[in-house]
Amino acid sequence: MTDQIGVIVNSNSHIDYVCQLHGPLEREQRPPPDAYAFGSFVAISLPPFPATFQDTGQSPTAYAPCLIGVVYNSMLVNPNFSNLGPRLSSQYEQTVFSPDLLDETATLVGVLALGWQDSAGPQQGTPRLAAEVGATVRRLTGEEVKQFHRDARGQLSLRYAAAILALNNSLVPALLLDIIDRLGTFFPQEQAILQVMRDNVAWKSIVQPAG
Amino acid sequence: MLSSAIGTVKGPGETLHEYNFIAPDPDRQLKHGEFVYYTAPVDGSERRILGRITDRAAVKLFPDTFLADPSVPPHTVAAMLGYESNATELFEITVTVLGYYDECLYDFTNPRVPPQGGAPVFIAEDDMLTDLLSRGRQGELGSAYIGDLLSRDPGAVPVALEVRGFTSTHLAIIASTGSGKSYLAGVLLEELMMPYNRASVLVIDPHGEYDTLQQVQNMESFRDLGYSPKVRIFRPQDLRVRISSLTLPDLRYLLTNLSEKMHYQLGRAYRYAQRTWGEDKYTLEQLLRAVREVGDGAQSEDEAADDDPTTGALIWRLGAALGGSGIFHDFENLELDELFQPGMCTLVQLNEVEPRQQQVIVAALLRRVYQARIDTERGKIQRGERNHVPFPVFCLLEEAHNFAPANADAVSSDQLKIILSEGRKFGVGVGLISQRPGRLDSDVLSQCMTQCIMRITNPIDQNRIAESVESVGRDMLKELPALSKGQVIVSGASVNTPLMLRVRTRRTEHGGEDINAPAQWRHWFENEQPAQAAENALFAEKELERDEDGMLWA
Ligand SMILES: Nc1ncnc2c1ncn2[C@@H]1O[C@H](COP(=O)(O)OP(=O)(O)OP(=O)(O)O)[C@@H](O)[C@H]1O
Ligand SMILES: [Mg+2]
Repeated sequence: MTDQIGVIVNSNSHIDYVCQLHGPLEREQRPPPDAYAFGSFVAISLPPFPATFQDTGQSPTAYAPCLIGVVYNSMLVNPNFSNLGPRLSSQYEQTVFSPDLLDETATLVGVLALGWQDSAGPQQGTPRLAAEVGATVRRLTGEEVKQFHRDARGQLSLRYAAAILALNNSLVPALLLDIIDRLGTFFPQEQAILQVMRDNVAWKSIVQPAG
Repeated sequence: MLSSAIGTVKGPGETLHEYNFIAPDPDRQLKHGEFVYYTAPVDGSERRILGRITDRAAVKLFPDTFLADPSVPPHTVAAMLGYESNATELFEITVTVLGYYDECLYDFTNPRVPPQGGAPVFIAEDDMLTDLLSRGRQGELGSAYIGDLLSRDPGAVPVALEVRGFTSTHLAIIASTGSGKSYLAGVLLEELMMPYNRASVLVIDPHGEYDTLQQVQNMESFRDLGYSPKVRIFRPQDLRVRISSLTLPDLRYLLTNLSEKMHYQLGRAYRYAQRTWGEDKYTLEQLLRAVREVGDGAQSEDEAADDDPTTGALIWRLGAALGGSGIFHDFENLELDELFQPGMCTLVQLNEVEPRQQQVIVAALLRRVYQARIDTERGKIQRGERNHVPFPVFCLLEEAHNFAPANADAVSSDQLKIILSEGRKFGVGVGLISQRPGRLDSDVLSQCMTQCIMRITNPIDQNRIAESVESVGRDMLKELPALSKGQVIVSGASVNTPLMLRVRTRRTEHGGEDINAPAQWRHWFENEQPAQAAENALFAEKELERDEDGMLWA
């Protein structure tokens, strides 16, 4: 799948996952930078995985169970970084003689799980299930993001806002502002309500800390 | 039967007789001044412990930032964030405990059993309040139905004062101008004239605004098996005060700025007159003669002593004060048996009477009726005598601050104070009406045991109320500026607990209506002006005729 961006390699909590992006030597292509940009919505696949799912005859993608999350952080891993001692071989020689060493440089992104999707459709809130190491992470389409932010009655929903604000992570307010701005283009008729929430978050994260 | 609970007790309040409870109050029932109860065991039986709401604070509010856009209701923002419940508000309500009603003591008894945390709180039913709050019962002997509880629907909880309470331990009606004092007084007078009360009432009416009360005489609702109330009006020109019924202080008060010497001489002349012609039996002429008699230099009766300056000045002043007015009279007096009679309301109209004379008239009336009551009670006066008053009386004074001013002496002040402190023993009650409690003598105000307080905005007046009226709690006084026309806080001896009422509609018309200036100006243009123009035209025509005549003559 072209939308795949990486796999889960670790987690810090039930909702805070670390995803390693596909690198140049893996079978997939390295995803384009905007696929894992700050604030991108992603799906983390959950068991049963599509392979076993096919028996039921359901379409594998439509309601494939997954966690829905958002990219809120990124880290670069570079083992060479602290290796500033004298070298025996040049950088070029290294790619030739020990290519797997290069493999160890990686890009990790932090993903906050904001909800999940099951046969009942997308839901916001703390998911019951946890992802596994190796679970694939793919980017959500615009339509899926829109779907995720509609509740059962078709109203704009931002239930996860309070939960992630409570994490007390300094990146969260900026994340929320970014999400709200994007939702504004999806839900133009609910722009006013979003604006109230945007002002609320902006005031607390921009004006008050500076005052 | 228990109605469903409206809140849950949180715990004891700041003071011993307070508790707090938490309620969502979606219907906005739990207003300031509303009555609620909890149940507690008292002497083996479950009693309802009534209390009054004295404070109300929100414990759950939307964040201010949710209220930023007037076109976005905050609950939609909350709903977007996942809070979809309607229960968006929660209040902490403070209640002052009154207690349960003790049928033996005729009062509320605080059981000193605080409610348990988590216990349900109920809103008191209309029937329960009707039973417990007022001392009287609408339409029953000795009751004056003056209005309904403000926190409930009109008519839901009628409140009747105990007439016995305010006629014996006095009444005050205090409010800023235009808040409905005279209207309320009118309601009270109507109730006093009802067949179930048949009171003997005197109204001192300095503005002549109670005329309309006469309508009770023709109203079916005031009649009962041979009873129909009387309303008697004494207009300013009908007022008579016999000169010999004035006391020495009255005389001194009427003649302002007397010199020491004149004071002394007036005193001697007064006693001389009383000795010579008998108490209450001399004329102005005789009083003047007495002045001459006791004056310096006068020896024989015929010899005029007017050349003595003191005597001359005194005679001139007495003549000016008493001779010129139609009120002070040699023989006639307002007789007590014409003024007081059960089932009769007497209006003494004092409009156009000079202020000092008003005070003397009121002082004289009060003194005479009080003395008559004492003498009648003690058996000194028998039936058939003019001053025989064998029943209690109630006197209502409008503009009471004129008769008992705060920082000035008035003859009527002393008399009022005597009646306020001693009147109950002899069945003389007074009701004071004033728009300036700050200018009313504070002793006088604090002696009125039933208080009807209406809207008061002036802080000086509010403080005076707080000082002199103990029975009204601080929490109620806070309401004073917020009351509207026709709303009243009643407290004291005639009710079981301070109450906020909506004064009932009068059966008779209200006489003290404000003048509608724009309407009258318009009326003038439509009616008066054409008439005047016509008259002028007629007049001009006549002039013209005369002119023509003149021309002819010339
Ligand atoms: N309970 C009431 N219901 C309807 N109207 C009322 C009520 N109380 C007062 N009013 C109206 O309010 C106006 C003023 O009332 P009122 O004459 O009793 O005031 P007041 O306090 O005696 O004023 P003042 O100090 O000038 O004597 C009147 O026009 C009267 O009709
Ligand atoms: Mg008035």
